[in-house]
Amino acid sequence: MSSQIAQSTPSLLLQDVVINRGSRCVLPRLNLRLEPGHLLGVLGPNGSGKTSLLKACVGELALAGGAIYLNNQRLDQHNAKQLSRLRAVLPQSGHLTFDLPVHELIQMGVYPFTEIAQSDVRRWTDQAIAMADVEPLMNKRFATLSGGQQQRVQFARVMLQIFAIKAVNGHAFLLLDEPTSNLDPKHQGLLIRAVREMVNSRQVGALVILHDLNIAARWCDRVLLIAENQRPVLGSPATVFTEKTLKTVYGIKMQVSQHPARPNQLLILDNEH
Amino acid sequence: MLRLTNLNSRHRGLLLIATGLCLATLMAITQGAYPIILMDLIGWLLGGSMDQVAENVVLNIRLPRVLLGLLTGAALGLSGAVMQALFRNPLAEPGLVGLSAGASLGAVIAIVLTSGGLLLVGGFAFIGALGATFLAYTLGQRSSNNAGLLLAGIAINTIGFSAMGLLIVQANDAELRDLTFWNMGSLAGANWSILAWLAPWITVTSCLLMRHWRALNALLLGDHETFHLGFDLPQLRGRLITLIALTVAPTVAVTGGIGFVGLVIPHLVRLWLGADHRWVLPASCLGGALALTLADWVARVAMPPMELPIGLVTSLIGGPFFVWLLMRDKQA
Amino acid sequence: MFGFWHKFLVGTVTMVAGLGVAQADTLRLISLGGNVTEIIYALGGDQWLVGTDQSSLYPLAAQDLPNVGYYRRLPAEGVASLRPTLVIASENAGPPRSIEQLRALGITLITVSDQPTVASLHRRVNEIARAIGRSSEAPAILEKFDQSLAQARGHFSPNMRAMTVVMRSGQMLGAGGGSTADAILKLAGLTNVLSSQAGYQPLSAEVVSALAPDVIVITSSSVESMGGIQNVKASAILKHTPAVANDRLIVLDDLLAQGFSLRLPETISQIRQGIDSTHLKSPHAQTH
Repeated sequence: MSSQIAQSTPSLLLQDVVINRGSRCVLPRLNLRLEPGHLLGVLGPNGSGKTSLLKACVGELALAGGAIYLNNQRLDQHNAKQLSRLRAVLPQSGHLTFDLPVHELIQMGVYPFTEIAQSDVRRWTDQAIAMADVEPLMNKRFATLSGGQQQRVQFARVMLQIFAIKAVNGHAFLLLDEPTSNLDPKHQGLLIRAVREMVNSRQVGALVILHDLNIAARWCDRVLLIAENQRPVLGSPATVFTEKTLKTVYGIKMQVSQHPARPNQLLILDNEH
Repeated sequence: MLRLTNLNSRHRGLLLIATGLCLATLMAITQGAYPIILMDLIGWLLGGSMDQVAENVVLNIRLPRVLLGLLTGAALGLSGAVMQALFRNPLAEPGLVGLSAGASLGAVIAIVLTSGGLLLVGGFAFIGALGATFLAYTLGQRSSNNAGLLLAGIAINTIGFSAMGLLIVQANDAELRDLTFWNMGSLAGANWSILAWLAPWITVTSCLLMRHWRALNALLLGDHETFHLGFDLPQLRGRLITLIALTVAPTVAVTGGIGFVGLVIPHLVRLWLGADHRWVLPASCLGGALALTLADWVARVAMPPMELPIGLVTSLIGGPFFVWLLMRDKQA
Repeated sequence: MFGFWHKFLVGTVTMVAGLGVAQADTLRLISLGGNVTEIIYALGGDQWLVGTDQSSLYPLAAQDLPNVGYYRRLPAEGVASLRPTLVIASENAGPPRSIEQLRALGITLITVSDQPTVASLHRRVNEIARAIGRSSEAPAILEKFDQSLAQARGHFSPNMRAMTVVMRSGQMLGAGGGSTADAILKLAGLTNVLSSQAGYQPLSAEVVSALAPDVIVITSSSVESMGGIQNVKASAILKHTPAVANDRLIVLDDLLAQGFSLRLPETISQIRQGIDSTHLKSPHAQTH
């Protein structure tokens, strides 16, 4: 039945996925479906397997069990080129052997699409630069930027790739590994808002690894909470972020309450003594 | 607005190198040990006539030699640039990683064990180059810094030259002297029949290499990003290494080992035009051709009527540059 | 090309007619190979020489001529730039490509025999003499050579075991079979203990002691690089040899030791003197 649904809409589908890291099982049997228009947050303590999950979804990690389907085709049946034209990935940190100027780095987002017109590329590049707020950095060299600035530049590159994928396919998948870790509050907000905006267009499905529970509570449609030796918990923030669940997953007492400014949103605070 | 200016400066840079190349080529053709009056030569180029011997010197000695220098320099410069991106190491170049040693060893084996026809020598040189480069790459991967690659290159160079030495242990004094000279490289073997196949060959392999500029830029971001941007890493590496070997091996078979061009030129190009391979690749190609043409000109006019071995000239300039690079390269 | 033969013909005819003067000023000669240059000087051809190669070190005057480099790696344009009308090259000159190129430029290039044998020397003298129009001089030179050689060799062969050593890049090498040094030892009536070895190879003390040469020939530059004859005698490789024990170390001028030339009789007699000498110090060869 799930395959019938799969045939009609584009999706990233995880079926009975088991992921091992070395001899350790980090994800025992996960079933998950991500469609355009949805923002999924993946959270959990350090080392719980979040990055491994992302790598598996990206096509970089082999599964110990189950299968992942991207648009009805098994992930391992896509080659690198095809994958790059369906999904874009923002890694946790980047490094550069040689120093590239920022504008050249951002342009690399369209490498999978050599057929696109230059005018479109220019337009999307300007949009991506605005979304990531990196206009003042355009003429600098990447290596001279701070960690947060570098992250935003990479984000602009990924946005450019998403624009291109959207234009060619009609939809796109975006996977981000802790994109907000290095950023100050203003840019954290900017970035997650940009992602939310893309998702709201109903053309992009996003999987974001986050550490910040409140960001997840505010912006994600659903959250996946994973921890060692525990079954992953999947659901809306309200259902997943209970004090009991958070205590089990993170091992500390947390207080979950209603956000004072926004009634529909949760506010989660550390309640350890 | 911003981008327009940047684009122009890159184009200008390439144009400058190309112009320099044309000038150097002209200089190389018009100057040499044999005294030819420039006016006569220009007159001849424009359709007039010239002394029979002078014409012969230009057509059959200088011109093929200059062309060989252009092709070899282009091959070395381009391969150096690609290697540096592929190995993610600013010190990579065909000579240092042992590719030239591998090609030389292949060529020597062909000469010693077979009758030594050009096709055989070239083929063996290619296999030797391929083997050496793969070995250097694999060994170099084991350590995360430059040391692994350099050590691999030293090891392969040592093995290559020792093996050659073993093969030639039965050789007499004269042949040993020949080997020494061969290792220093020479463009003197240039003739039109060699150029007839070398020129299209190098042109084709160079074009194929230059088409990979996007992949090479992606490599700069790291293995994962390269994959994310759509490049199959193992396939890409295999293809690039094969193309590099295909490009460099024939030149080594013809000229012997000429070092440092592949190391120095891409660096200078990157310092000037930035690291984007869209410009670095063609610029390294043209720059390498320019450098080797100049080096050969120096070799020919420095101590007439003698000619210096060209590898000596490139080492004399490249060696100190290499030292300078090591001292300034803190991102080991 | 036609021009040269024309001149050569005229030259020969005039000589035969007894006028004895070749069109000397139009002949521009380049000599490639030490063994070739020496003979050209002996035949009086040096008046036409405009250039030689790196290995042409004797006579000393040859070193003042323009030098085209190593004769096995000839720069075609460099040689041509001296505008020779005739190039006489050792048969070992190369690379073949450069020889081709020179010929293609219309330069007359003659290769002459250059093997370490007396027969080759004879051939070489005759070929060079013919090439420069001095055929009449050749027989006298060769006869003198043959006589001197016979004299130097004497009636008896010492029939001793010998070897020639050189120092190269800090290593002591011995001359094996097929080398010029080997031929010289044979002519001197000695047995080269290293004759089964191919070319010059590094020596080891063990092998040398086992071979036990009675005579050791060493070049003067090698002695110099070792810091004197005492150091040579004290060297680990040589000190246990009968040659050192009996003070039969013969120091030869480098060119004499490694060139198969017209001065061969001198080389042989120096070697013989070294063997027959009963003095404590071995005679030093001196260049004249």
